[in-house]
Amino acid sequence: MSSITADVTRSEGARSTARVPFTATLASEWTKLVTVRSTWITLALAAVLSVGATALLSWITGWSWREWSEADRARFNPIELSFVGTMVSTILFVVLGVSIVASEYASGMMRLTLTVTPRRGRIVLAKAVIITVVTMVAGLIISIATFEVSQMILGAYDLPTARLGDSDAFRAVVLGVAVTGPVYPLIGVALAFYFRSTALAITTVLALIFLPSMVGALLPRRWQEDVLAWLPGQAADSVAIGHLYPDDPMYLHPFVGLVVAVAWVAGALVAATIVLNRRDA
Amino acid sequence: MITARGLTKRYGDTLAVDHLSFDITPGIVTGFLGPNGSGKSTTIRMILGLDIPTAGTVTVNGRVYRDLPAPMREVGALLDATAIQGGRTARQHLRWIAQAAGLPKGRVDEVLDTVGLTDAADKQVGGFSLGMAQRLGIATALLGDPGVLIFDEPVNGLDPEGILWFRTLMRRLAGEGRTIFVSSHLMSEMQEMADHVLVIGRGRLIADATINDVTGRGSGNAVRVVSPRLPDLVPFLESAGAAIQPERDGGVLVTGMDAARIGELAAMHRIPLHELSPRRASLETAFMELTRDSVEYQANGNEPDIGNIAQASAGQKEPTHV
Repeated sequence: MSSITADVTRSEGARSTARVPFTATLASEWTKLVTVRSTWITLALAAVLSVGATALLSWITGWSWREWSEADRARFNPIELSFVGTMVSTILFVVLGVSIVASEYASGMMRLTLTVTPRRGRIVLAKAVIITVVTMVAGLIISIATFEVSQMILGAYDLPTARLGDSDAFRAVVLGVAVTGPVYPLIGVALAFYFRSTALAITTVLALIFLPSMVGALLPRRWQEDVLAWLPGQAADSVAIGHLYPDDPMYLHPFVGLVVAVAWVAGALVAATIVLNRRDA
Repeated sequence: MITARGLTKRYGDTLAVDHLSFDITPGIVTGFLGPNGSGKSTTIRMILGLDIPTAGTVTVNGRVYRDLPAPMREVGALLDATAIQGGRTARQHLRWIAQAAGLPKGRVDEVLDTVGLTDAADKQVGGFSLGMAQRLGIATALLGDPGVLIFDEPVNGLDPEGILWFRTLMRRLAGEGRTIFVSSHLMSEMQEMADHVLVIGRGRLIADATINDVTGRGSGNAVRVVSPRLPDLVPFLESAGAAIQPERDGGVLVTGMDAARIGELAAMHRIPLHELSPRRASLETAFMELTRDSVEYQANGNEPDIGNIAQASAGQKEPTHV
């Protein structure tokens, strides 16, 4: 047959097969992210909606200030206003984290991804790293923008304002967002691998974000402190804004909060890797 | 080189692949034939490490796929060509694959050229026709210049010109000493393309042989004979053990005897022959015979004929286990 040609032109397996480095997987996932329009739409939406929501709330605050009671005014903290924006952008970052995984299942392209990179832990880790970087950078820009916009509007109404240089504001607006912003999006990445469905993964993360505060209010205070405080979102909040509520036992010590939040994320991603390794693609 | 030993895959109660053992050797095109639902795609997914075998092993160049240090440089595969995200251009799509595989950027333009998609390189793949998507999938498989190439139903959606192009490409790649493994349920296509075929039905290996062996083994082999004195010749052939089947135009189909023996008999009795042509059974016929008992989607338990299989192909998709 053609065994002669085979021997002459080619010897299988004797070719360059240096191990593909992890940075290759990282570069590839980055290319995937930036070459689809939905990424940019989601990020733009996150920016517009979060700045818009904060601006609206700031304007309402300034406009209605005259009707505020003394007690309400005393409780008012100008830093809190920009949290509304952070919440909005977090939800859109969750959408981004879920979609970089689930959209590959929807189109069937995950099989191609896993054929090109059969080490599945790598895919999980690469997508997690990309989402961490993007949500941190975009989250910081949006957080600072919402903060400055809200302080500007409050200032225009001669209301108390905070400055980014203040340690309380810096911890909440810069450090807190950088450290805790990726928590929910990363859980979204893990759940999307697990469910292989955009709707299911997003719904679960949203439940994780909103159910504790809704159900929690109905539970005895002890339960709230013993259980709810240890959930990923609450633990992350302990790092970002716990210092604004020093007497609230619902917030863990910031370092404990950090460890708990990281443990949740790491646990979810490890579980996703185990499932991915065992399951047929 | 692809090596399977006792390869088995069970989904619940269904035995999709049942103790397959085979070697796919370099330098030739090996066809992988079977009716829809016979386990072809499952076998290919196990070769590529996507599905985990219930039992047995399958290796590429001696290693399990997931353990290959640079898989794309050793194995190129085309599965479902349309299972890609439509928002990227062909070039962007190939770029992320090249990056993930640790391949130089230049390979992207090279393979686009090989498959004739250079002009469509910056068009979004969502707007591609099935034929263009197939070409993009073939480009993906060629990206790492691998020694082993696996194509699952590659000619689906290609126009006749595209099919001819693909066939030529396969020949060239096999000529370069690569291992080529092509699955299809289109037997006629295999006959033109493959040197060797693996035939499976209901997950079981039915034949592992050269194309010639498979087509020669069928009972359909016949010799067409035309002669002005056929009525004189037929009794001699029959008494020598041949079976005669008259044809519409006055000739006969002789089975159970080869052309040489018929010619000798005719000469011995001084009977002139106007035609003496061996008819090889088509792979199609051979395939129908081989898989007669193992067609998954048979209509009403009737003997499967071409109509049944065509119907099964149209109506049933192979089970996909996402």
